[in-house]
Amino acid sequence: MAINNKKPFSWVVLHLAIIGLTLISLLTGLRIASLSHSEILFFNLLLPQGYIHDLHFYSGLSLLAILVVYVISFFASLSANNNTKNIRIFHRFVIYFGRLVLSISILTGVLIYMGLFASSLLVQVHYYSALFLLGYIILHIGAHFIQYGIKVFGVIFYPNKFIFKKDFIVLFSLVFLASGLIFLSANKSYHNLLVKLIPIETFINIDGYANERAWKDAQEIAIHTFSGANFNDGQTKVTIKAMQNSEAIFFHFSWEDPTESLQHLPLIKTKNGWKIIEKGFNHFNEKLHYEDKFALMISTNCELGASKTAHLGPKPLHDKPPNWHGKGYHYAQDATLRDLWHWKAVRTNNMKLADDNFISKPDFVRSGLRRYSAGYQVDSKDSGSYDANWQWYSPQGIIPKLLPRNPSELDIYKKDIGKNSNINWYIPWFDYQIYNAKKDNYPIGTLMPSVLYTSNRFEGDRANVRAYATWDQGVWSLEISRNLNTNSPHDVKFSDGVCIWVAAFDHAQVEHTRHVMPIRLHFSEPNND
Amino acid sequence: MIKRSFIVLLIIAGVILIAKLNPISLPKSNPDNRLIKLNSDGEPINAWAGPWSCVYDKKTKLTWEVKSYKEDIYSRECSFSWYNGKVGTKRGGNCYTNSGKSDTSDLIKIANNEQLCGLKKWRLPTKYELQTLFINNPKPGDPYLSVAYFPYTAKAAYWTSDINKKLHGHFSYLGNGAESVNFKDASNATMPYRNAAFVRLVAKN
Repeated sequence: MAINNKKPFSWVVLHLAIIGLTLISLLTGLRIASLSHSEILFFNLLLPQGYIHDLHFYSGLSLLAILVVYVISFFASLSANNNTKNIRIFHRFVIYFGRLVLSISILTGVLIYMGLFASSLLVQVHYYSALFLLGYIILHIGAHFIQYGIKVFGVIFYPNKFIFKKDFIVLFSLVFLASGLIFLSANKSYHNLLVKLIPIETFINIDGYANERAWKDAQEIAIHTFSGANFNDGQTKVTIKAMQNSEAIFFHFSWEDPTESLQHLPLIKTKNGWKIIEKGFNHFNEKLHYEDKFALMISTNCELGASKTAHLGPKPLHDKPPNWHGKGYHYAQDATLRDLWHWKAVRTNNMKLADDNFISKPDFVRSGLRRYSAGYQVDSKDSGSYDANWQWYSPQGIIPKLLPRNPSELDIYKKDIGKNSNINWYIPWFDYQIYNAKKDNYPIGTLMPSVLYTSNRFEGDRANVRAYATWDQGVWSLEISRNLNTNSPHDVKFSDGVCIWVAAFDHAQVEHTRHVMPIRLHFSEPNND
Repeated sequence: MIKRSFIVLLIIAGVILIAKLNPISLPKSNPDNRLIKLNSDGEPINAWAGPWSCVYDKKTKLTWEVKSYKEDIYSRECSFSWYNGKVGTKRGGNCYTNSGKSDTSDLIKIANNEQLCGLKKWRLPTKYELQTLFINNPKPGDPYLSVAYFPYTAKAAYWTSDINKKLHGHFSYLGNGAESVNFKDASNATMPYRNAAFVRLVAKN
């Protein structure tokens, strides 16, 4: 069967560009989507791994430029042979369908990137439009091949018509627009937050209530975070305020979370002994029986993909072990350290601290440790910590390290499982005693916390971040503070232009919400140190 | 067209088959180049298994005591004065045995009587032996040894069997002391016998 082979130069270039860019967008996008849609990991072998956010972003941006040029040229009738009149009706509808889903995919991508609207629906539309786009590609290529045979692929490479003026205008517009979009996005891709300057005498109590007068006129921004486990459709809006005095910085974060989750991997007595109540913890991806958490990353590097630390896929490092959940690792490829504060509703909130961590280059592989965490590491501590109340982890059952001195201490947990209450699901080490099988006479069904406080709080570098949060009527309110400069080699010094990222966890171990553009801090006056 | 349709279906099926045959792989427990966990009977266990009481070092052919969170003589909290029955200071540690406060001879005696990990030749390590546990790249704030194999290790001084070392500076008036190795910074120092330091026993099969 004959095929229309009269394709102009600009058509060939645009078509090849769309093929390449769509493939890059699809493959990188599906890898990103695998963070929330684990079923995509079935096609893991076909998807790229590692740091792919730049590729996804710039391929999407280039497709946007093509879309704009296409629309303009369509209405200006500049593009030769951009109609489908001479194509058979099936192909015509397939192409219309392809244009529609590609346009939807591009536009929802732009909106997700900007983060201005509730993002969960947008993310879903973006995801399913990508799947439809995949279907379109199969239909488009498959149908042409079935109808015309292998010769059809020659058409897309060899133009046989040069319309100098039209080709030049289309291609020049495209290059100009794509370059402009990339330049603009590379320089202005931030949410901006003004850090209010307050006198050193102004007292800010880190109690989870931002009720001091100083907070009232601090600038507040709202960031729509999405694609986390749980929450409402995996999304939550995070509001942020920041203040500084000459010594310290203060943040107030609040985020919607319908449940106050404090039952962190509770232990239950069964007929075969004690067991951890879990659903995913064995693969370090607990999404049900876990505490709420909140993370703040601070970096002088404001690049996409969480300051270029998000390396996706089961094995983004060829010489390091794969991860347990297939999602990826956080690590930095350059020498710049990213600070990471990790507030935990049970394990650190009662210490009035956030866990002071950092992300750097991938760590060495250490034999004997089940979990390799790549660049995600904790600051050093001199003493104090929390511990797990099991001698050795096994999904089949565990032996607790400690049991209560008085069995009635566990009575308060009897009625709490499945409900949300403000009972502390941690136990102080010295209120309990070393496990003794002879004294383990607890009835089947007895519940016991698994979080042990070995002291009141961390001491040392790991204790640099003060934090406390309260939960009320579906909203967590977190106040958090640290010295602007701790002089620690594992902390980032705050200064004008530093970027932050936020992530909320709704009783999930690793599946946190996220946002695309960083938040850039603007200080009222330069820091002196 | 039927032939081409078949080719298209074949390509799609091939992609699915390739994906099916290449599932994501989970991390695997690889044995350490040197260290092997031993349970309380001295039986080797997998690198990711536990709990364990001792560690065997294939390179030095030494077996090491592993400290514990339990409140017994092997506790991470227990410290000991240096004493071998003739030289040193009796019962200057912070843990209690049947005969009172602890010294190094108490721990050795108990470990041998109990045949910890099936062994009965437990002793203090030499400085050189203890230093073989050093690693170059601990995690920030961790002691300078493999904490995955030696949990509950204090970032502090551990006694060695090297004695009759001359004391310097402030403690010179005490004459001699014993050598200690510090896992906080991979250093070593001579300390008075009366000092309370930690102990990690060693045995040779």
